[in-house]
Amino acid sequence: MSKLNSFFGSKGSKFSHPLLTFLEGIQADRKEIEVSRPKDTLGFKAAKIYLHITADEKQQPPAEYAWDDELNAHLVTSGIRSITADNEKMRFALGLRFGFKRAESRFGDGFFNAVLAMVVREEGFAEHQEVKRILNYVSTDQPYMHGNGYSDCREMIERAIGDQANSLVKDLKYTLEQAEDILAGAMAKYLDERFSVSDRERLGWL
Amino acid sequence: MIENASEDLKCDVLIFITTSSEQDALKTAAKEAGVGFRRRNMNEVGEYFQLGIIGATRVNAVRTKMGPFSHGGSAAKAIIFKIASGATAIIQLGMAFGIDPNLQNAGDVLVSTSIIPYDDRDVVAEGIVCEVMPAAQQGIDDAIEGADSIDQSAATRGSIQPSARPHPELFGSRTGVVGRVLGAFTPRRFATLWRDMLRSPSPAKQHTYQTIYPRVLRHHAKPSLLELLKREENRGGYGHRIQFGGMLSGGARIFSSQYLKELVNSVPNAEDGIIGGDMEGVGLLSISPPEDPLWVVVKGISDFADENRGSIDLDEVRKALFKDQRRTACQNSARFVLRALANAEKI
Repeated sequence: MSKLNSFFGSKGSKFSHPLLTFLEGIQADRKEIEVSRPKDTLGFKAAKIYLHITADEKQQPPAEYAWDDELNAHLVTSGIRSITADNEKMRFALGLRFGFKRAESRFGDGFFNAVLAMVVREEGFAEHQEVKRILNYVSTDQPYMHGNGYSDCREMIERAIGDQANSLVKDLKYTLEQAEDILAGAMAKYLDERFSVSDRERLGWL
Repeated sequence: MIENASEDLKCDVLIFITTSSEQDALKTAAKEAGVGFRRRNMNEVGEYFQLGIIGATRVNAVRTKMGPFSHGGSAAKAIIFKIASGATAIIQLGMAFGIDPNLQNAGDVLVSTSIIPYDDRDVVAEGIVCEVMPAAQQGIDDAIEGADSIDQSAATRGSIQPSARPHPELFGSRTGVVGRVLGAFTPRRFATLWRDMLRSPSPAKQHTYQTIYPRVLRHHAKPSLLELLKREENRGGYGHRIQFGGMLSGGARIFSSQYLKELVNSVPNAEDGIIGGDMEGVGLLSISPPEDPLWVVVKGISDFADENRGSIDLDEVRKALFKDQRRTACQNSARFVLRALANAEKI
């Protein structure tokens, strides 16, 4: 029998990561992550995930992992929250970036930017202070709305947002009020970075 | 006087160009696409060109200096204009070198699936090429003393370790420089010459070096731009080839097929091959983290970075041909990009 036999039926059928395997096997009083994404001179430094674990009433030293979109998605579905609501906003901003990639690739930057801004303005995000402030500095064109492209793009964007929203409530068990605040905050951070708003502000160009 | 037009700078995509040929080609392609090419200015960042809306995309263009490094080079301009314009993508347009004249033609358009920044290399000592060894010195002295009785080859072979000669190509055969002039020297004269050379104030030890590329990483281009360009390639209708693959990018002006070969063989290989290279693309790595790239390089092949390219100015006929190739390379890349943007929403 070939040595390759050991690969069949045991491993590799779905996304895996040593951190997920570790978390499955550990009995802990508290499992949380902290997303670190320090501001650079302009833009951000690379994101990292720190795992905080308390077991047997002892807090373990945080373990560091490089940011990975898929890993984060699995941590969310495993119900592992970030340490604070603000940190959760940063995490979900990266989640939105990941979620929007398909729509952006399919429709291109111009069309995607235009439809995204329209969705944000029309679907209640603009009522949130953080988003409202950023939207003042986001400039997009009006998308052509009479073709299939518009409805398809809008649907893909809304689904991506919906996936993030549902994860906050169903997987991470936030209340609706908390989840809305986190989702809107995440959208503000995503738009801020995408359209270089804070960087423009920092350089005195706003 | 160009008016201050900061609002017009807001756009989705920035196109970067470097040379006057690239600027002319983009202007022509813009005209063909039915959009403008208006020179504008924003006081804080400088001059740019407003093309307007192409398909569903607001497009502006920026001209940079040649290469990534200098004030006004692609890195500096990319950082400044990306922030000032709020653009979410940058396309570097223009001319590139191909890597294989047997498989590629001038005018073919190269699209970078990744950039390989070859300047990020290590130059390390490889070995000693010239060392005055005590035995060698003694050998020279012996040679001088017994010059009349030793033959010419003994004078060279006995005194200096063969591998320690400073210029092996000079000593490789009798047809080398030294071989040709040997007849003019008596053994004594030759040995004396060697002694004088070795006693000269030049360093006693010289090292050869090699260039290695262990830290060179491939940086992947923006997926949405690649998809846009791939769709345009699939639409077809082009008289030239369109190739997708890795592109070398760095500050060197390369006019050597041997150096190019060394680069291609030394840097990490690409899953989709290395198709060419340029000087400005590497500057775009400054604008975004590797996991969220905002750029792509789209350039037409104008030359093959070989010896022919370096000597073109010496020959008027070749110079004219090259000028034509440059124009074609610029036009092909500009047309391809603007058509891709124009067709973007036709999904």
